[in-house]
Amino acid sequence: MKLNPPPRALLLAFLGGALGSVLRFLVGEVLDTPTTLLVVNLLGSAFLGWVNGSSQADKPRFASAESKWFWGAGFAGGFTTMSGLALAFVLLTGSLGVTLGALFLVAQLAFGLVFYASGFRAGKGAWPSV
Amino acid sequence: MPRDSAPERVRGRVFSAQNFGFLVIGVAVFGGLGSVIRLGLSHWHSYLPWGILLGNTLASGVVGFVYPLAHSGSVGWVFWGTLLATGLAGGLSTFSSWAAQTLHLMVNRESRQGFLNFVLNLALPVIAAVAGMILGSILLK
Repeated sequence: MKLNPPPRALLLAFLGGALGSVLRFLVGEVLDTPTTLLVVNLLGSAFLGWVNGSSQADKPRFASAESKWFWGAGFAGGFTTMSGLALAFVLLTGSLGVTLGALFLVAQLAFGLVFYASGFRAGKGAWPSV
Repeated sequence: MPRDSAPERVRGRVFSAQNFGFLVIGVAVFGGLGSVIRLGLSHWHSYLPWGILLGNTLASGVVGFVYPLAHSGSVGWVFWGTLLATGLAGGLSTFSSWAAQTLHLMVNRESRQGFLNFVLNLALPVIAAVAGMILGSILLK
């Protein structure tokens, strides 16, 4: 049976995801929850953009499948979170009202795209294009 | 499971210095596991990155489910809640892949898919978190 993804992809995603998750946990021990979410999600998006952009640069880095599994699927995926954001939206809506809750959620999603694109540009030297 | 009337005191006990190492190791193992499941799911990618959407939705359900239990004053649920919510669900869900996929869909002028991916990853996780919270609260009664 041919595994897709191969076993070493699973191992690298496990190690990267473990590292990213612990780092997110430690950030959460220092900062309050909304700030933690902003920091990990925006930094994580910029980082993934940088990894993906760098892999397409003239002098590519992170171009191997192995580094994508570890740094992309593993580390960036484990460091960032959508579930924490969904819960924070529900809790913020309960305490501050739906307007501020929705503002936090939608603004973070929108800024996530901007941070990803900016990281990509930093890595490749050009904005994402077709 | 031992119970305590003050959740903050319970949290202080669970997150004590000697337990902190266990929490870090637990978050690492569960976060790694969640990331491996997400990598497996991510191959379900056709019209939309359905696998990532499913992972984000499932993880949000887990986080919602754990929340009322971890705030019930149960020492065990504060510990396991951290491993399940911060570890497993945090590893299973992703924000960065969502940003990458949505942005590239928009740049590739697949704006309908980009918009759908934006809205669905906003709505379904929130619905799942609320459903999880309701389930967790029912279980507490």
